[in-house]
Amino acid sequence: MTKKKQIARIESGVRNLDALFHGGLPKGSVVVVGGPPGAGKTILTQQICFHNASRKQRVVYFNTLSEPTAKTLRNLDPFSFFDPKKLDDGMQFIDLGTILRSEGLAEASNLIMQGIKKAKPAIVVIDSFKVFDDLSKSKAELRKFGYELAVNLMAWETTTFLLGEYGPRDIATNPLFSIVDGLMIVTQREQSGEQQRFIQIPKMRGTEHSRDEHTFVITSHGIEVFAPRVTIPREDRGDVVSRCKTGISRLDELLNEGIPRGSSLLVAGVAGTGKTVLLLEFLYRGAQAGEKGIIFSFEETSERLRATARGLGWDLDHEIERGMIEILFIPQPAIHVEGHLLMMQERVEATQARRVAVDSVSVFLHKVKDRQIGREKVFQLASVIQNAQAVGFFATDIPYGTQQLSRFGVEETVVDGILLLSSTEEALERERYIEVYKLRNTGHLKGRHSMTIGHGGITIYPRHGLDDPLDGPPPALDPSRRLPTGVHGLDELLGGGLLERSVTLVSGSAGIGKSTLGLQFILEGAKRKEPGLYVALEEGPDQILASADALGLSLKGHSKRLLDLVYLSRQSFRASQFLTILNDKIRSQNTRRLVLDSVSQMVKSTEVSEDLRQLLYALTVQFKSLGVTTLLTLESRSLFSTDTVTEHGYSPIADNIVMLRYQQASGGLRPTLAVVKTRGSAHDRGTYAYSITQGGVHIGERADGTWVSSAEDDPDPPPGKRERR
Amino acid sequence: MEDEGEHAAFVQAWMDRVAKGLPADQLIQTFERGFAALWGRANQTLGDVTLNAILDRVFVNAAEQFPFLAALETSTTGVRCERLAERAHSFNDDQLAEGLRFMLAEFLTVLGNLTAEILTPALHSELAKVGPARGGQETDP
Repeated sequence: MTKKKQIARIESGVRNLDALFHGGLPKGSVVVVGGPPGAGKTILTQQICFHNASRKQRVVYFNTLSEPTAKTLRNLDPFSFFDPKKLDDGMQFIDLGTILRSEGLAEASNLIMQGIKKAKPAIVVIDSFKVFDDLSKSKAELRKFGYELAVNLMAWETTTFLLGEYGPRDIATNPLFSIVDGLMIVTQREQSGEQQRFIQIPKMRGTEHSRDEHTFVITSHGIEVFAPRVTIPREDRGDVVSRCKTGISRLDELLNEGIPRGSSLLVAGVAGTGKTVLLLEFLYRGAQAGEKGIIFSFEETSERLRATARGLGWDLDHEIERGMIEILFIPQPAIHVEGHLLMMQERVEATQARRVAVDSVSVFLHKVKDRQIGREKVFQLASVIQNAQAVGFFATDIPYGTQQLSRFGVEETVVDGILLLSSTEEALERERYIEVYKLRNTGHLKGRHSMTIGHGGITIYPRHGLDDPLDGPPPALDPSRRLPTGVHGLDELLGGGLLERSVTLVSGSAGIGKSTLGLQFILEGAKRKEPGLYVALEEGPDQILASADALGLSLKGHSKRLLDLVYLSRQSFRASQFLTILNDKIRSQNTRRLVLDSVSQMVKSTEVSEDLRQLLYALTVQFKSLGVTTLLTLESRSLFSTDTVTEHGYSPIADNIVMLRYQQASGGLRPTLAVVKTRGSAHDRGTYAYSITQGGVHIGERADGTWVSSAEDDPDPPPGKRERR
Repeated sequence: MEDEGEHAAFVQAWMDRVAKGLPADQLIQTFERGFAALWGRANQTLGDVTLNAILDRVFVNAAEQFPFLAALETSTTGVRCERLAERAHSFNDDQLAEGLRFMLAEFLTVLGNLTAEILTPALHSELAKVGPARGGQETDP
């Protein structure tokens, strides 16, 4: 007997309204439904009535001097909640108009009570109650009338709705509002460029309730309240983190262990940076891995998205047909932010989507002018993702020429991560990049990484920077393990061949024999069953084969596994993509020897030499880590000068430097070779003449005019610090 | 909410104790004292206006099931039973007892519903104090 009793509730039958009351209207409450004409008071109340009316739970609807009952019924007919059968069985309309006109308040009150005693209704409506304000002779009479009616209604345990065109002034001054238990105000006004309806519950005794304004719409189904602030609470999912692998080429390499489930990521970029493709591929790869996905598209129709996918070679249609992917297109003019937020919540839950794409939040929220509201809506969207333990990719259009990370400048504060897409003009081309700008609770590769979009989809070329090498620093070179170069006389100058896993820079002017040296190095490896990879950036494969043949260095007799020739066109690949491409190649071939001919081409393909220095460093570290002994060729502009090895300061990345230069000799120029640096090994520092004949380079006699260098000296000081030797 | 049946059972037990086998006039007197006890206690908390509204509802319901109860009238202490007593000879005793039991139980049920049973312990306690019309074993309120 002493335990707390819960007040019984009645369902409103209005979508999301009960949530505002934390579980329905307290039974037996007397509630004023106020608002200006046309705000939706009558429809709201009638929807509640028809939802509840039954033989056991009767409803009595008193019309006063407002809308005639016949008109009420006619206007109700189009709504799906209207059930004419209930007019004979549960729902009763009583017109008080005649009595009110002739007899006044007291008799009206008697008639109301007679109707209640007769029907014993669970719900009573008086529409409009405002008429009693007009008919009462004084405030005192109105208060007495209201009080007695409220007490009688209380005694009958009816839930009562008193409708009226009450405004804010009435709430402050009308005695009715101190008598009643609850107050629901419906209004409409322009917001974000369009007329919107609002509902607010400033007062409701007997329950906790939302006091905020919430939007609603009136459709053929009646009233639908949108209250994402209430209905999309962010649920605490505990500390257990499972992660999502996107399946997009190399993106997961950037994202390390993957995206924590429940996370929302902005996919940010100016127009044309590949946001939609990234979103689509995210869903497509997920579907292939057995994860359902859904995309809410506010820009592209379903057919256009399907066409995009077909153009990339994806069978998206199949994934849609087998129910793995759903595309929902919402045209911009039809966007109702709060309504569609709830729709998204429902669709994500209904489809059990594990991947959710929104393309784009910029368009979805384009009518929201208030940044704070925009932020709240993105938060609610992110809450939908978190509650479903899905992963959300939200596209956002960054305005051109700004440093923003999103359209409105607030989205990034709410989401868990940002994938920043960008493009830059490089020579005559526009290159795409992707950057994991932020991803909570996840170690990820930093910086911009090259990205291409082509047949098959997105390809990312991770750029492992100095602070995040793939497998830590390479082990030190072992002086006891050397590889013969295949060049007659060169191994002796190098102290017995190239140290295994060392990087050798061969510098020389055009035509001096750098490529020939490289070919000999690779061929020697093939003879020794050491898989070799010759990466040509200048000459095409046919030209290389022909040149090799002319020197009696036939490459054709070896299997591709032992000797592979790869041509990377400058037009097809950017310097920043080399690392990924070569890494793949080396791993698949188990390469032991590699020639990159020439680094100069990479210099030409990028204008940022510091970036290239970092890239070369990353390349060499990577090759060493993979056990590859590398020979890089580098073109020197000078035929004769021995002042510097390179014009770009790249020599510190090499363990060994071999400099090829011409010397004036009687009868013309003669090529010479000098080993100017070897790391961890003694070497001959003399300059030697050499010849290129059948069989390749042959080191000859020591040349006149020798010059001296030590391994400790920096042969390639930075610009401005060069000293003539 | 308190189950309607629990109020009915409580009233039944009370009537079995204090009014079993009483002739109609004494049964009505006992009912009148019992109702006055409930009214007096409820009135302290709820006031006349509310109690009258509740009583109005209880009368309507009771008269629907037991039409002879339409002879009951309201008073400042709850109900006046003179008119009912005048006609008591024309009723079956069991029917009368059943009607009066319903009145008390319905009054307790409606009060219980409206007050989330907050007053129920006190009301049951007040009713329990009301003894038989004769014998004086119980204390009248």
